[in-house]
Amino acid sequence: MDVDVNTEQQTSRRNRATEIVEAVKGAATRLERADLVTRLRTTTARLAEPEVTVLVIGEFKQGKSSLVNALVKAPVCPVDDDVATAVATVIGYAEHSEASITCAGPEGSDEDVRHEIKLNDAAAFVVSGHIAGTNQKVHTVEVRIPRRILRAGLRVVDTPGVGGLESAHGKATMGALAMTDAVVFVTDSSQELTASELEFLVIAYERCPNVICAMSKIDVYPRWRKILELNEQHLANAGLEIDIFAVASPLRTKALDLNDPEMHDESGFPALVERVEQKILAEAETIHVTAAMTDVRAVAGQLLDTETTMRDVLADPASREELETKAREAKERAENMKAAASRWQVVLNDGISDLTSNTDHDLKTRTRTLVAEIDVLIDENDPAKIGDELFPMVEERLMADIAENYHLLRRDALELSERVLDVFELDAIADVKVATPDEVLAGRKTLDVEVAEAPSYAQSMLTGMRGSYGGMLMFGMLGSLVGLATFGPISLAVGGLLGRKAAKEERERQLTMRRQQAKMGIKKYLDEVVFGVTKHSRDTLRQVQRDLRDTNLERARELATTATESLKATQVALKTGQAKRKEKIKKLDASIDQLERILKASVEVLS
Amino acid sequence: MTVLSDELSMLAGLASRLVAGTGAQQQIDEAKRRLDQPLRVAIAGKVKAGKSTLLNALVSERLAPTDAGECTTVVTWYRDGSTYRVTMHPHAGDPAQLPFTREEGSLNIDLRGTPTDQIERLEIEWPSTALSDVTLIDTPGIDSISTHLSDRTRDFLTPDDGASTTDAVLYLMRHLHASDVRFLEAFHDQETSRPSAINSIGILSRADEIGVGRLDALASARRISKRYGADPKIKRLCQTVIPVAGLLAETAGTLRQDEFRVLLMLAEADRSAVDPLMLTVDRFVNAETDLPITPIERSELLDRFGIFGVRLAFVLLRQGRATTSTELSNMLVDRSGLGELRRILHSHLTARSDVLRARSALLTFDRVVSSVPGVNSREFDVELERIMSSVHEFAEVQLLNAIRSGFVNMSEPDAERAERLLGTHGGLAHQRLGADQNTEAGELSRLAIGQHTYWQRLGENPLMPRETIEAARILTRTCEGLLAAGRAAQV
Repeated sequence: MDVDVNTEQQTSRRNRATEIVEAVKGAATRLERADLVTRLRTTTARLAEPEVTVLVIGEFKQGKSSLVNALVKAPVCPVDDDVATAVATVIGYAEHSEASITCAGPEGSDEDVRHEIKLNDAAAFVVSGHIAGTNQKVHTVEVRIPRRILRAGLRVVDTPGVGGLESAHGKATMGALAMTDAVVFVTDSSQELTASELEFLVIAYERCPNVICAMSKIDVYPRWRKILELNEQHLANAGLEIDIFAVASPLRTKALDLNDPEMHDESGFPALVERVEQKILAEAETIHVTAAMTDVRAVAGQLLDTETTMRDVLADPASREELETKAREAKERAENMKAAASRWQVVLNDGISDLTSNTDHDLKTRTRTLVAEIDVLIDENDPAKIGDELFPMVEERLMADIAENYHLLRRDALELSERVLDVFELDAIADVKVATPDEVLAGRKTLDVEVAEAPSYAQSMLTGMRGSYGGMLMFGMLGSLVGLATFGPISLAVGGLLGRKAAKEERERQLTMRRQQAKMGIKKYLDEVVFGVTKHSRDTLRQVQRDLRDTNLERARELATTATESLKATQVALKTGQAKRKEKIKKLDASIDQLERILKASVEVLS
Repeated sequence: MTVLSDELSMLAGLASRLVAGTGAQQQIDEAKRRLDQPLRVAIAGKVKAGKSTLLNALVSERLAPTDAGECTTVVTWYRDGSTYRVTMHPHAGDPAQLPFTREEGSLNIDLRGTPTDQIERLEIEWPSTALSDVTLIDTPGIDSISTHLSDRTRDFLTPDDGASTTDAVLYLMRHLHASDVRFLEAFHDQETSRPSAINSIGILSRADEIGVGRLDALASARRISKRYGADPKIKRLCQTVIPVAGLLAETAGTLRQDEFRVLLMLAEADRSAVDPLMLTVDRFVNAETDLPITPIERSELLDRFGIFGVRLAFVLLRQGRATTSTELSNMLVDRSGLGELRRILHSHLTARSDVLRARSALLTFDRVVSSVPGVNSREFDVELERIMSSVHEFAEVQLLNAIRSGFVNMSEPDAERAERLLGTHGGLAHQRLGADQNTEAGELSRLAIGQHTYWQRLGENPLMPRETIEAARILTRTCEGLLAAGRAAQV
């Protein structure tokens, strides 16, 4: 029953890594390298809080919340036959249970506001999505509970069901995929994967390193083994190497209550938990530990450089000249790196300006396509009749486009930072933070265009388009619907039936006017949102540029200092009297030995 | 209805003359013949929504094969006949009769090597009272990974050319899905050139699974289907949404004595022996037990009832609410929602099959005439328009759609009263008037007169918008029709 053993092992590996960082920090302090000590302090902080985010995702009513509850062994997510999760719930670790919500700030402010709430109230927010009595929208609900499985830094996110995975909501969710460490896709055992589910899995598999599939409700579907087999086939046919875990959430809860290991095995959870801990957590942790050990190696290497130089000069004064030249060359190299004209700076600056124009262009192309499609739609319809459904659809479509745009931005920025590090010729790990334009979008106004009144007997063909946007296909279908609807002899008969007679020309003039109004209104809206988003994405890229530049300059400065220290060391060594020389060498040998041991340990901890 | 049939044969004659000598003549004749055939009702929905299971439940026989994986691959018609016969209609070539066997009830048809994509449809003739006034059509699921199967259903229900071959649709949905609504719309568009709620009924299928097999699952399902039914988007697309637990319905209608005996044995056994079995499906089949029931028997029981059905039957028997297999069968039919579905099927579709079939025919005429090049269809178009706007039944259908789509300005209670009068709760007189089934004729007349006065007044109110006034006039006429029919019945 002790399923959390692995977490303990991982914690110990992280502790070991922390010890190594502390050891090298001690050496840096002793050698009075304040710059390196500062760098290691960040390393320690990052190691202490390695958050691993696992997104639980799937169509409506597949049992996502039940699965999350069973996984963390606490009824944190509300489960209901009808009402579905409306807000993403983030479940993380804390010594004492606590909960909070994040919602839009007061009007006019871009900042989100966080409120502490009672743990028991969390469910109500998750279901309603609003603060009771107001129309203030809740963005996320965060719950922190003292559970062992979460202690290693695991954050489980229960998401609202995606109604039709090709919907705008689905696309927005996909935008988040690249930023999570793992995805658990939930589908129930009542039927094999559907086309839209499989399509979503294909995209998730491309974007996220760790995707697993949980097949829920095996306690109520007698034929689940057959479904499992079919699903495995579907995944294999699609070329997806995704493992499926067949689970029964209520059974896990019951097994834990009764302390019945056999029943627990039957629930399928031990395998799922093992996967989460052995692979997902472990892999994420490996990334964190690797990053920390890269820091350790860089620092220990530099310290070794100075110490070895001094020792070598002490042991063999004749080698001084050679070593001095070496140190001087190193210093020159480091100084060159700091210069604005250095190659990495050029790569970075060029890369960022390319990226900025590409990102702008991408968004512009997307909106231009959108405008063209909308124009066609408006030309074939009366905006007064379809507005109620057209405007929200435009909004959702735009949101989906922006999500895609940011996905590209993030991917390219990461690639650029790798390129810069390559030119820099340093052992380091690329890391780029790209914030999503949530605040910009949350603060936007709702699209609402005033169009003149139209005759009230009309037919809206746009039902179902909200949330089911399928690109050109949708517009194509709509076109054919509208064509038929407008020109069938029967609809003319309806006009006659209700006795609506208006001068044809006047009607057409008004219709043209309404179309103009709608197009202008939508265009103005798109311009406004795109303006805000473009500014945000440019700011984001500038921040990426600044971060990369600052980090690399800091590294260059460190290298310069190390070279200076090494030069200084040769002087010190020369001035050291014969008597003290032996003792000093002994001391240096000890220090070198320690640093080498640290280097060795930093490699070992990863194996 | 005589007005309608007269008008129809007049229009059919006109259409025949227009297309005489072309291949289209045959289509007109076929459409005319359809007017005397049972109503064609298609069962459509997403993959694994339980279409075949529901079909079996409606026929009270296990005809359509069902399976855990995707199963129905060809559009299959089930119609009443004098003998048992399976005919294959290929896309090209002549229909051919096929041999078949029955395995555990369900039909096993030997396609004789014909690839399924070359088959337009299978037609199964089956002597059954359940099929006497309706022909049921089973379709492959949409949103299938095998896209060609989805396409087959789409082609069938919403063909690119020619008229749809169905008069009405039962649309099965499990949870409301973007793609469900889109599909319904496509169907309506092709069928009537504009959304219409008149010929489709939404079914919240596999209703027992909503509560993951809990005993109150159907209560939950009823609540959810009410909510769906009230959604303006759904309202525009189907008359009503009702929950049905298909598997339970199928099994309840065909409950066998040996199954009843096993269930009774379980109900009479000690709870401590039975409860561990009920925990999961795997345990139900495989767990060690002293009860006299083999794993194979248990597995068969589960296949037939589902875990929900087993639990429900167990409780009904244990509480003594059912003591015989007939009682249990009736109770399960009722609990599964099948009883209500049958009632709704009658009141909403078969009771007004004349209008529905007439609509299909008119639309076919129209499509056929306009599809033949070089035909001067002016006279035909004028006549078609005249019929569509003058025949009261069609006016009713159109008004109902207008109200449901929110294009007639009415207060909520007025809209509800009007919808009821137009037959959303069923087309029989008492249903239209919102009265009990056993209401006396005199009382019905009084109710009709009351409504008549009400709508007449509304129609004469000059402050009302024109659409409302038109609507009130149609409703006034509907009341007059009800009164006339009532008087005729009394005489």
